[in-house]
Amino acid sequence: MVNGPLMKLMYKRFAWIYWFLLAFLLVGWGAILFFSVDAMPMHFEKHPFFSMGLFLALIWGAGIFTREFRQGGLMEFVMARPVSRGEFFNTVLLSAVIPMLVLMFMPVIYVITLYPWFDFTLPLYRLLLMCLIAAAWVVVILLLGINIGLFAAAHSSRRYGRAVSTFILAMLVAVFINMNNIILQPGPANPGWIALYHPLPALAAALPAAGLLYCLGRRRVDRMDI
Amino acid sequence: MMTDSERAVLVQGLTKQFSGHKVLNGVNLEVPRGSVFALLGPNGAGKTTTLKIILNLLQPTGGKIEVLGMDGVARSQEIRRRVGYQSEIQLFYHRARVEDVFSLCRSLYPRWNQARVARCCDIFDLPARGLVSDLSKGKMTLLGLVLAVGPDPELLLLDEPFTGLDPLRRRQVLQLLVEEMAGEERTILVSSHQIQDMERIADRVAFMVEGRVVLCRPVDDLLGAEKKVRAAFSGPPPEGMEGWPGVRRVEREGSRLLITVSGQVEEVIGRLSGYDGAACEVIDQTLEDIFINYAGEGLING
Amino acid sequence: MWFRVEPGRGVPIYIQIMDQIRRSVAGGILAPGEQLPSVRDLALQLAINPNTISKAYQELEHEGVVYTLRGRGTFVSGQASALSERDRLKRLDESVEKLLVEAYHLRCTSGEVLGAVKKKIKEMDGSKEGADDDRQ
Repeated sequence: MVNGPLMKLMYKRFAWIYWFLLAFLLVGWGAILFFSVDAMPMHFEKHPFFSMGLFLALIWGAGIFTREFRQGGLMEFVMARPVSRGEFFNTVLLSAVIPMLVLMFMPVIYVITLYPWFDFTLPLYRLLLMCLIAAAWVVVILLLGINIGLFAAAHSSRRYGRAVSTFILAMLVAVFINMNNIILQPGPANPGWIALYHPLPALAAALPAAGLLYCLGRRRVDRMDI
Repeated sequence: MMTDSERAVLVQGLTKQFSGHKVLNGVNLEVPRGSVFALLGPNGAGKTTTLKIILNLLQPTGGKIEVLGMDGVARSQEIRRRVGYQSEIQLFYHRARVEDVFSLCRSLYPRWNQARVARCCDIFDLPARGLVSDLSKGKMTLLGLVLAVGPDPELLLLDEPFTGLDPLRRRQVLQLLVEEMAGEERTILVSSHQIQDMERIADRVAFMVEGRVVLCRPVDDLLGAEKKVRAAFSGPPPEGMEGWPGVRRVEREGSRLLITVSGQVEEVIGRLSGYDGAACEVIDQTLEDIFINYAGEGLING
Repeated sequence: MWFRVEPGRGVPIYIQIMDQIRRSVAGGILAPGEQLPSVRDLALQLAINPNTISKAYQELEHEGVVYTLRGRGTFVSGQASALSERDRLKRLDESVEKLLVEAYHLRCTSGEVLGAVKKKIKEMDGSKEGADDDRQ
């Protein structure tokens, strides 16, 4: 399902991301410890990394097959070897999902490491659930980005494909920017609060979305010309 | 014609369309096992496309592909376990390292002949470490070749294996391929512009022009059958020679005629000698000459 | 034994090899009973397809110029060519015609042609004796 040697290579390729996450983690710790305010813990309810994760997932996802693999030639190199298209897709997807998951579960890391010094209003299990929902939706957005990228790559011979994908990405970025504002405000209509008060539906909705986008992406990769 | 087990590759009626532009127009190829098969043709004829379809890198629009007795699309992964491929342009990922490329390739195949690879790297002076992008064009071609030969493949697909190589390296590559031939039932399918080098090692040759195979014959047959005859006549030359069986073209060279003959050379000469004062000279055609003769023309029977 | 193969001549390579072997035998460079290089070695040395060399050796065996012992190699045969009388003369005829057409284009007289033939026979006989001397 996933190709071992290829996964190792992907890990090496994306090593810089893990270093970045580590740096991020350390900076975060430093910031919390030195500039701690009692209101700090509340932020984890709104999952501050979620909006950042959305941007990353979308933009990175869109570029991952086109820039990294098709233009670079890795896809042609690997697919000339005995690797199935499914294995390739799963391996690349997984290697992108793992850093995203790490980013989404960072609040948990902070809470676990810092609980002796701070008072967290949100119980750990609720925080875990929030992170899980955030992770699920980030994966959905990653898959969305991948599909948009693949769509653009398939039509790159005509300007129309690039234009459409750029337009969609721009629209989504605008939506996410607005969502960012909404997340900070309480209210029944906004997603952050839906996740807080209705966690299970929020999680359940992510699964079919991810499943659909995965199947679409997989189908495209199975049929594409490399 | 051939049974499954005698064939390494079978391509029937292969077509490939890229958004509005038809690259392959019904390609038919049969590559016998254990042979060296040369695929020649001008740029854009569809040689690289055909090779890529054999590996299922590109999806065929129509037609049938069979490699090593298996369906080229359905069992492609299994096929690729036993096939080595050298692409025309060596593309690896950005900032790839030589040792990573080797270890990745090695781990992807069930069989890998490390001793062979080491010896080849030695002969070709390939560095064991460093960035791939630091290699010269010729060294990159050789790297691609070594990676193709490494898994001891039953079928070797080479796309322009002589790119950027000087005569010494070309000779070494030819010797490597000859060594490959000594292996059990290895088949080599090469696409190249270096027609003279192809003539040295190929058993069969196929010419591709504009997405079609216009000629597919054993090399020796081709060289024996395709000739030009220079004929001088003291009397008037015969009329309507274009219609004679075996004659493909008649050109005037001053007072003499230059006749392009395809098979039946003896008969044509026999007929000519029936005319007044006919003096004939048979000119051998090199593979390059034959190729140029056919490159502009349409489909013929082979 | 040094062979040379020229792919760009329009003559099939196996015929080039056959010609060179025949010429060497005729010129005494290859003596009866002498072993020819193995198919594999020659293929590697010249960088040509081993099948081509096999074909050359097989055709020569068919003509009786060489014989093959399984597992041992290919050797120059002791007797004269096994071609029938009629074939021998037919092939000689073809070679003579080629020579005369060439001479015609070069505007040589028949005297010049005969002179050149005689000279060549003398040369080759001389070298044959020389080769025999070397061997003793």
